[in-house]
Amino acid sequence: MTTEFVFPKIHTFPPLYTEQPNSTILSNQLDSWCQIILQYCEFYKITSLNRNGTPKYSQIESLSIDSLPPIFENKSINRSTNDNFRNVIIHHLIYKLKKAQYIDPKKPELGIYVYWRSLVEWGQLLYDYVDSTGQLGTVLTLYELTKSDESGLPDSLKNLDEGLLIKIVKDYLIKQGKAQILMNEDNEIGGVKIV
Amino acid sequence: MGQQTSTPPKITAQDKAIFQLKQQRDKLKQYQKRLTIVIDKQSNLAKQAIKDKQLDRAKFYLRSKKQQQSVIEKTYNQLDNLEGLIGTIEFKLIEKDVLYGLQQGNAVLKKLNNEMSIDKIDKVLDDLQDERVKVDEISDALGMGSGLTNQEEDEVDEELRQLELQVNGPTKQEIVEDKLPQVPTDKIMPQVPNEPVHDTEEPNIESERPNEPIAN
Amino acid sequence: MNYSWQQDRAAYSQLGRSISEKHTDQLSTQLSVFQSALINFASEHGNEIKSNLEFRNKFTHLCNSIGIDPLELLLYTGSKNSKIRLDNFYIALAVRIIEVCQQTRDLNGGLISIKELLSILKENDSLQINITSNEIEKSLSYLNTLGKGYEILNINDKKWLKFSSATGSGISNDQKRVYELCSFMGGFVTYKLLRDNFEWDKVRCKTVIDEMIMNGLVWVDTQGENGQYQYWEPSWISN
Repeated sequence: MTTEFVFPKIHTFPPLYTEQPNSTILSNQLDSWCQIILQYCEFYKITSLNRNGTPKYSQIESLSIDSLPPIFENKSINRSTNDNFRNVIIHHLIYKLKKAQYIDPKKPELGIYVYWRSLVEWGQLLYDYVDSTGQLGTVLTLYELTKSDESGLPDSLKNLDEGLLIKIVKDYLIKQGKAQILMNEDNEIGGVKIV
Repeated sequence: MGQQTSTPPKITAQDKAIFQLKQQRDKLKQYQKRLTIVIDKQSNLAKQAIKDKQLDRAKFYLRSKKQQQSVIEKTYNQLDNLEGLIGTIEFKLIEKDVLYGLQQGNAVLKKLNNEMSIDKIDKVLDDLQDERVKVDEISDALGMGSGLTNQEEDEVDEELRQLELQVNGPTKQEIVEDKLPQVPTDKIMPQVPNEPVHDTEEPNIESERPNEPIAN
Repeated sequence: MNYSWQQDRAAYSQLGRSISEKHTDQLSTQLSVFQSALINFASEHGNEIKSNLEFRNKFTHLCNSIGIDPLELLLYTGSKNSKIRLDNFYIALAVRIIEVCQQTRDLNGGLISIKELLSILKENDSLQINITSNEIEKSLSYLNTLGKGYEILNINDKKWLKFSSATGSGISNDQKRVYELCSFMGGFVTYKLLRDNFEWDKVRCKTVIDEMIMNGLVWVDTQGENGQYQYWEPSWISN
């Protein structure tokens, strides 16, 4: 992945980095920001962000996550959002657009999952993969479902963040009655059985 | 699909066992990955050492690299074992399912066969015969029970005979009449050409006609 | 059992989807045929539609019931020959312009450049009609009977459409000058720039700018050079 994400033109609009006092304008501005975040994350297959808005996890292994162009900063026009505004944007993304969730609601400092693909869509993808490979009803380890080179994982699922995988299973598949989880010896979720 | 939240699938003891094995397998795979990286690093270090003319050091790196490689080989064997075991267990589980299916089928077949035993069939046929006899008895009973005694029945028969006599006359005469056509009456007919006219004059006296042959 | 039930279900829903897709396809072809028939009808009987009230009501009702905007038909019928646009066309266009103004008000506070307006009109319209800025001006003249709600302004040789916003009384002369300076400066002004160019004192700057912020006519940027606040006109984004 050598190509770089092309930010929309509004990303070089200097006032975008200042929280607008006019509430109608602000809501437009927040929508614009969220759009940028979602496009950016989808482009780099980033499934979670740190609290300060830097990428936390990407499915693309070869991606050096620390050298990506920052979302909340534009060096070419010498602008960046302050922490407070950044939180407002993330809050908007989580509660208004419902396109993100805290990784752990009790520990917001751990960052957020960004849902450019919804949990339902993820769950469907996972289920379809397990179904199409004849593995329904078989116990699968998380390692097998994310890292393994031999299991013919589709690119969309490859190298998925295990935390997100667990969330997909817990918040969607189990609620649908389609999955059950298994604990490993460290009493952590280590496997899943999808039927 | 499934709007209603149904109960999640159950984890069986076998599931747990396979899960354990697979976890071991995953650990082995991770271990292999780590070793491969170490080996790469060591060959690079060895190269560097040769460049720096530190042959001893290069040899040390190569030696430990060799060691790592043999470890990797061992892990591959173990991995093989594990994968084999997992495969066998999974296959056994399927076999178990098949066996269960066969058992079920067998039980059903047995049950059906039991219901078809010879004794039972004989008994059913016997029963059938019994019932038939009963039916006969009943219909006999019904025949006897029409409300008349034996004597009355005889009287009815006698009356019938009388009635027959009245209508048809004695049965022996009927037999004689039957023989009549053998008599060549047609030859007589031309000699009595007027008789048909008489006949037409008194056509209703049918009862006299049977008497005529007796007069002849 | 459960599995096969689910399979059946999936197969049924698949079938249902393909059937309904087919239906939609058929319906949309039918509708487009009907639509073009309607357009022909409207252009042939245009005068009658106009003069006969009962006839017009029925026609409008017909259009509504199949989801065709009668205005769209007007745009069509009025634009058959692009050299001779009919009244119909300008009236329909004026309605479109008002729609765009309403939709974008939250973003621009009631001031839109003609250039942007044209590009939005082209984007929204499925009709592929070439519209020029002259035609926009002509359309707007039809709206004058409704009061001076829509007005063309010239700011630095560029044409802008100003329309009265729900929050304010419109664009004052001072605000217009702020916009002039913005377009001259590449998108923004500062208090200092206003002072240097127009010799406004601080109070006047603040009053004008604050009102413009309130009406959504400018965006604030607190990270300007030397810590000066910059005030940007939002059409910069789409230009």
